[in-house]
Amino acid sequence: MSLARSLGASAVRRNVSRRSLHEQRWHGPISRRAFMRTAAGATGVALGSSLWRPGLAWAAKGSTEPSPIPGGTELPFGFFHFFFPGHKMEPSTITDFNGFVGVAELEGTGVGTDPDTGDTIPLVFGVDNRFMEGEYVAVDGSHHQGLFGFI
Amino acid sequence: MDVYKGPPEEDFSNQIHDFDPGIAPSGLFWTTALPSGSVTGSAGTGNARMHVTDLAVRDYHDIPNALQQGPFVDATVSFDMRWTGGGGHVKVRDHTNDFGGRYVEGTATIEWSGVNAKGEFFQSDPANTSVSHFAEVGKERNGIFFQ
Repeated sequence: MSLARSLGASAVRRNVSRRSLHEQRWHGPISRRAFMRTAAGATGVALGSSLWRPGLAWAAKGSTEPSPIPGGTELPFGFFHFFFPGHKMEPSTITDFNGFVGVAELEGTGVGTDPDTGDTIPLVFGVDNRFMEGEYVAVDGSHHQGLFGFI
Repeated sequence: MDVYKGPPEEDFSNQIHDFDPGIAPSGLFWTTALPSGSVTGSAGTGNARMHVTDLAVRDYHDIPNALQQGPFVDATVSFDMRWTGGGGHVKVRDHTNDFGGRYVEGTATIEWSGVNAKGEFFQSDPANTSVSHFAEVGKERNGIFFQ
């Protein structure tokens, strides 16, 4: 199931005004508590270079990354800059944005394949996927056109 | 994008894949750039399509590990999502959260697959078997564009 269906009962919305976000940027970002953790112990394994790797593109350019929305949701593991999908809920996860958006929360079934044995097993999935396409202001204040997905 | 061995348990004990792009140091949550042309559609009708192939993400195994930015293996996902309008037209002006927009609610379908660096592969059943719980497409302004 999706994050919403899994954690929705324990989630708390937190609205953060632009003014309070500005103050927090100078006096300790609200996101720092939850997000400024290193990926210590991460065991990432590189795949082929032909894959679309937006994260690396951002790292190279350093400035075109959009900023997160200031508000969000308090979960058992911290505060996260998104709202669950729903009627009159904000679908975008990026701020200073003007454009085309879509959000869908779905579930379904499928099949998993074990790479060692080739055996298959029936599985269940849940997704909350979104897109945001249009003008945005990057973290460095520059304006861009871009397409982003919440996956 | 989450995969479970059967109906999800409350403690996530039967979750085996959590595919997402990770959380950026800025706090940008599970959001990543997509190739140009991946999305087509019309905000006014509520119809749209998002079609992405071999998007690099991470497999954090389960949601609690992903939220805590624990160990992961690299992975890719491919998906074809389609939105169909037909539901209500919703206008929002939310001055508390600094956003507004016009949205068309409806339904959506998805067919997708994911594979991680261990070779573990998931393939969903055809799109018409997916179950839509919430879907909408629209035009939105937030932050400085909402002032």
